[in-house]
Amino acid sequence: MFERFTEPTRSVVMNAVALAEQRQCEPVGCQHFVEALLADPEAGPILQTRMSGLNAETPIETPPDDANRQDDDLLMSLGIDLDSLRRQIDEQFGAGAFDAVRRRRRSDRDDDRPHRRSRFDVEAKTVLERSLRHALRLRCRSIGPSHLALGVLDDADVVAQANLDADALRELRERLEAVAVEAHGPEATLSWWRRAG
Amino acid sequence: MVAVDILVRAASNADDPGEGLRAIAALKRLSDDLEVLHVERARDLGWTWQQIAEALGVTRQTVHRKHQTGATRKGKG
Repeated sequence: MFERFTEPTRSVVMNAVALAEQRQCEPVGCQHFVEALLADPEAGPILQTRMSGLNAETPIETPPDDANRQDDDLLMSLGIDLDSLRRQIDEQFGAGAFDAVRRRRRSDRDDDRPHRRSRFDVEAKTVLERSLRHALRLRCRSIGPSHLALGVLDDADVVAQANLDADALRELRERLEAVAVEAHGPEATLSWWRRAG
Repeated sequence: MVAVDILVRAASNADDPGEGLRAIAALKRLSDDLEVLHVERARDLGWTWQQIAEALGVTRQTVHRKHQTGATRKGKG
C-alpha cells in the first residue's frame, strides 16, 4: 500500500508522526493526520475552509512535559544542578541540545520493550487503509494527500470535533475527490510521475 | 565523585524504597539522554557501531537497537 503513497502523502504522514513525537503522545492518531493535512498544499486549502479551527482552538492533547518536569524535580532534589548541566551540554553539543534530546521520545530507545508498538493507533491505521480504498474507488493510481484527507473524514471523532454537519462533510468530500481525481486519477499519469518523483 | 555521591543518596532512604527507585530511574533516563548525544557525536565522527558498543560495554546489537532510529532519521546508518 505505502508504495502507492506519493511524496507529498509521505510527507504528511511523516509530519503527523513528527507532531506526535514532538508532543510525546505517540501512537499517532487521526488528529495528527488532520494537523499535518491542514499544512499540505493539495488537501490543506480545502480542509481549511471547514476545519481550520481544529489545530488552533481544539486542544488536541496536552503536551506531556510532566514526565520531564517530575524528573527535573527528582534530579534537583538529588543535588544535580540541571541549569549548569544544560549549559555544559549545550556548550559541547550545540545550543538547545540538552532540551532537545530530553524531549525526544524515549520509548524509541527503550531497551526493556521487546516488541515496539505500532506508531499508529487503530483509528490512524484505519485512515491509512481507507485512503487506499478511496484511491481505488476513484480509480487513482497513487494515493495523494487528498485521499488521506478523505480517509480522515471517515473518522467519526474527527467529524465530531470539527463540528461538520452533513452538508459540510459532503462539500468537503466532493472537493477533495475532485482534486484527487485531477491529480491522481486515470487521466493524470504524467502529473503523477512528476509528483511521485 | 559527585555522581557516586548522588547514586548513594538516591538509594539510601531505607524507609521508602520507592523514593530511591524513582531517583535511580530519573538518573537512568538522564544518563540515557546524554548517551544519545554522545553516540550521535561518535557516529558523526565516523565511529562504527562496533566501536561505540565496545566503548559502552554492550553488544553491537544492543547499541544498534537503541540508537539506530535516530541516526537513520538524520540520514545515516
